[in-house]
Amino acid sequence: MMMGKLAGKSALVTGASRGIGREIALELARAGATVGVHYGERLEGAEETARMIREAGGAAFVLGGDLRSIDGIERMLAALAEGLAANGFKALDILVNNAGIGGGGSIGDVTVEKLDNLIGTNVRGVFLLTQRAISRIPDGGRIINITSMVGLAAYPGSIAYALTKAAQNSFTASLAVELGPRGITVNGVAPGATDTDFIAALMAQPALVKFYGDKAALKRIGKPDDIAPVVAFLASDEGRWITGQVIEASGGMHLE
Amino acid sequence: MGTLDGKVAVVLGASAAGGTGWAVAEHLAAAGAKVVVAARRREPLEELAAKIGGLAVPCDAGKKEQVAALAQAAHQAFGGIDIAVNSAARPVMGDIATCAIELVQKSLDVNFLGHVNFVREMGAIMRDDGSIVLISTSSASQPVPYFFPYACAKAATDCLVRYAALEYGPRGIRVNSILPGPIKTDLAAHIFSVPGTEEVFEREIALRRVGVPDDFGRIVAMLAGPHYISGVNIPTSGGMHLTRSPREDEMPGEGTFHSDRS
Repeated sequence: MMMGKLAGKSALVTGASRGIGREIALELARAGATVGVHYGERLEGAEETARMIREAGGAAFVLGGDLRSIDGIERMLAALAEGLAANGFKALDILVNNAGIGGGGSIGDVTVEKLDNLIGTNVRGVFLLTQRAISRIPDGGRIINITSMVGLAAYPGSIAYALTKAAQNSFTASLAVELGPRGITVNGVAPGATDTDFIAALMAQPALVKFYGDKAALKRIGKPDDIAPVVAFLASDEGRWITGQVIEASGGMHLE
Repeated sequence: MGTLDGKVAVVLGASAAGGTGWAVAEHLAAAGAKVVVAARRREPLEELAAKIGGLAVPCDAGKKEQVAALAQAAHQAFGGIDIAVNSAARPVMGDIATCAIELVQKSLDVNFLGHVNFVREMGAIMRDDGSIVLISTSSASQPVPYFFPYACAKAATDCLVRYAALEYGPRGIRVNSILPGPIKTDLAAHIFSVPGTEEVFEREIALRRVGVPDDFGRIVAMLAGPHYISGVNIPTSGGMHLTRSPREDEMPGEGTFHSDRS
């Protein structure tokens, strides 16, 4: 077992097959947590994340499950229980709801299927997974939702995606009040534009990279390892007095 | 080995054992930073500096020459500044209708203009990629009647954070504030010594306890390190920002908030 501020803790990071989720899984493992690496569709990516964790001396297990269906969530929880038990854990100390899907479009462009898919994954999926995982989270546990700056401002070009992230922010606040008496903190972390596959199309266009980089006070686009330490902080005892918040880790977007 | 090894920190307002600034200084030092501690009174500062192996510099946060001298002292002693935390505050209380405007000005001098000077003087010397943390108050966003001279000046400081993040951002300098709710400091001991007072606060706090200085030391130590957070006012109240701040008439003691000692 690795020593660190999360030594002896168990964690689940959804959507950890790549991007920000992978970096969060690596960071939590570096801090000593045993990490459940969840994937929706990319088993190979999740296995790669787990391999990276193990090569660095950490502990990880891989689990799949489609957040859009109750069956998928139940399968995922069963695999979680199995993975925790195999690593000597009963409880889940840290739940990181990172999995989500994106999608652009103005109001006229959003089809019913697209809307249902976005809400089904980012809102319904996160809600139901959290609801069913709560009984496994001990007093003093952590729930961290990876939301987005788009949920805090007007993004007419991503109107449906933005509303799912605003819903996660609301969920974060209400759940924090409900679980506070158990010492469980519930927070969101809101990245701005971050260099991952999620925005590969944007990153391929230098003019857009400059445009979004300039939107941040720190004058660059974020990287996954700008976000993951904030999650590790909230997950640890260091962040014990912060709850019900959406921490912007965006390099200072929307200040002007 | 610490996360802040090789960094130089200035903590202004580290005036009292059992206080927030004191705990911040201890956490920064524990994480490996060389810490310059400053406040008006020299004696407690010397005790803190000796304890954490830092440097004590007497400084009145409301006097800009002294804040400038503090930055120079840190530079001379340790070769630069990477982390600057302003925890100095002047608790001026009153109602809008009756508070002498001179008192409101006194609050502004320390609780707003003090922060302007602090950002300017520390920012002038700070190395690239540094971190500035200003200590605000939950009462800046959740009004507690009678706190207005203090709270409104701190609200201006929260706004300053956003402007400073933009102005200093191109140098990689992050500027943030934290908004503590009720804290059990030694200075607030007289408030919490009244039986039942703590319970009134706890009802409104999601985590069901009142904050302690150590809680804030941890948060500031995180903000002092590497991260991508800038221009943000962070409530640090165990979740009280989600509900409400208790009113004075709910307190078991008389005139709980009508004390300028807290």
